Amino acid sequence: MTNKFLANQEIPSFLSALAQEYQVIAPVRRSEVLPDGSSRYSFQPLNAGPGDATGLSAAVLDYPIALNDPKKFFFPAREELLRFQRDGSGQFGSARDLSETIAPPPRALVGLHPCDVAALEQLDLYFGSDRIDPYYQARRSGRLLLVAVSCLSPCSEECFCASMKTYRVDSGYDLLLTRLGEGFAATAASELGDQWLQRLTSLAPLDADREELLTEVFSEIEETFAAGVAFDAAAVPRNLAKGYRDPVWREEAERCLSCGSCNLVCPTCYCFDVFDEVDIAATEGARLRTWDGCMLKSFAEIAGGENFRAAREARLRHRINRKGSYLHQRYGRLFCVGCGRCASACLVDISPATIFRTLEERYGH
Amino acid sequence: MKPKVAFFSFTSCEGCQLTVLECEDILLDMLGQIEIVRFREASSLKRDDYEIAFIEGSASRPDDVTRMRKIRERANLVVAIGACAVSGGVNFMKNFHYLQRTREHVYGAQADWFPTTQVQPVEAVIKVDHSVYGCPMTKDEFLETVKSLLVGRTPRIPQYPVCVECKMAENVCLFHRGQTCLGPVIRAGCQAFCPGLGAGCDGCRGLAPDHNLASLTNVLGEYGMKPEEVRRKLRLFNGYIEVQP
Ligand code: SF4
Ligand code: SF4
Ligand code: SF4
Ligand code: SF4
Ligand code: SF4
Repeated sequence: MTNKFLANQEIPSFLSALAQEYQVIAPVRRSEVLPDGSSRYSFQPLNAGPGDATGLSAAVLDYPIALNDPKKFFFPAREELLRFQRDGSGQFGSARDLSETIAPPPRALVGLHPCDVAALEQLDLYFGSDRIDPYYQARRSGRLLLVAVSCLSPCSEECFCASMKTYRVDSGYDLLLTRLGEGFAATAASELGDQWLQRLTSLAPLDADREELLTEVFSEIEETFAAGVAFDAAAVPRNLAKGYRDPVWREEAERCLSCGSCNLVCPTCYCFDVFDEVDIAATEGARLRTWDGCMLKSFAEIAGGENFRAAREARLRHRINRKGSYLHQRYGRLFCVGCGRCASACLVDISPATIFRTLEERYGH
Repeated sequence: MKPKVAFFSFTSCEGCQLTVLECEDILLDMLGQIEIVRFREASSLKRDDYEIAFIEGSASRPDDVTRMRKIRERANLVVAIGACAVSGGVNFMKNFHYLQRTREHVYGAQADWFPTTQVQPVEAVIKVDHSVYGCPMTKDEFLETVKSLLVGRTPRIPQYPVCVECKMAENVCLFHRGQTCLGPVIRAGCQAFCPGLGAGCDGCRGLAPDHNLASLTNVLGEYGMKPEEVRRKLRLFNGYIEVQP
């Protein structure tokens, strides 16, 4: 695989080259400098589409974490699934499945962090293995280039990718950019990534000194994150099973606002609500889906008003078990990447990490 | 047969009726489905043979209660539209002041000409079948309600708080900007209108059914707002919750 050096001054031309063939999506600033000294970032499409090179300068490649991960480009917050109309007999007979009409432009997602890559792999599992979601697939299987950026240190006080082992990933993307002084080491992780590096002839190959430096950076990353391990991720499913009736659920849920923010910012939350909308004359309409969240009381409410998880603590327990146990039973892996988005968004400091650690203290021996 | 519909206005700014008129693009389609027999903002018709009554505003004069009861007797369905009708809205602040003093403040020397009472939302006077929230109500939710009533299903109105729509819009949370917001306890449906413009939610859509106001009060305390200030902030639109049965 080809390795090259992307000097800072080459970044604009690198993005322009991508913009020839893709709509480039990258993190952009989303806020002023906040009271705590940080800023917020968001993945946004930069150019109008392939061939357009405007807007690229807004990309920020050194950033802590984006508000939402790139899930929204494959599974939008709100989308139409079907359109239907009354036929001659007045019945809602024919429905047109819109998955066949989904045709995103070729897209280059630039600036994904390792946890974003890990989360995307988990969504792929959910939407593409034991069940196939045609809407997700239509967007995911389009022409796509994934350019990840290495994290050199934890992005926030809330992130716990160190414990979840998602601070470095070796696959699931095409190119990896790793900060090396005045530029990035660009390493290919797929055929497509390799082709791109070969095509970018203005970039110098990664010389022996830089190769060595890169190895050092990777071992520093390992050391930095190893120091931040707060609990044993492998024991999470077992501890959750043992702690099903632990008081931690009530203790934590008491202050929960049931605001759903944790669900909505989570890169591995995929739940949605489905409903129909009709026009005023009720002659035609659409079936839509929107993101939903298990922390919301209405989530588990069914016809007749019955609710499987009416209590806050039942909902919190469900959410955390779903991340650390239920899907582990189904897919053999944890469905949380430790990005800490949920904990950062939570106004009352509820974090899976705290709960995983508490349960480890109580049941981990 | 098109259902006959009437709009009534009580103490309010009539902004919600304006919202109805703002449905311009589908107003004509709507008139294909319903027959409006009374609508002061838009028509001189004044018939009483309506089946669905949309009520805007709250009761705040002695004869308002009688008028509302009459509407209830005639209508099959009563829909409260907008914060004033649903919970008393801004009007309800009057109830926290001496009635006579408020009256003199507003009407001066002519105060005696204008009898006034404590403010009551519609549901405190008569049974309400459906509510359309907000100050003013949103066009989308009004249309959702009309459409649902026409096909006989329950309108799809969010039960969850503003944060949900705020996160979907990827807004930067006001709390992270060092400001405050009532969004975590307020019913969504406005697409997080105020946070989207950089201002905290003031609660015009009322408390979300599953709110945890006690916890939010603690959070606001960390941001320097005392419980008494939280209560005053809520009184802008939600004074009714202090006395609601
Ligand atoms: S549960 Fe929290 S930390 Fe885990 S993936 Fe979701 S947002 Fe990230
Ligand atoms: S959670 Fe870890 S991998 Fe994700 S952005 Fe933060 S430091 Fe990087
Ligand atoms: S973000 Fe926090 S307060 Fe809101 S629902 Fe999640 S855990 Fe509860
Ligand atoms: S700005 Fe307000 S509504 Fe938006 S997430 Fe923050 S608290 Fe919730
Ligand atoms: S954000 Fe709050 S105050 Fe603003 S429109 Fe929505 S509910 Fe009303």
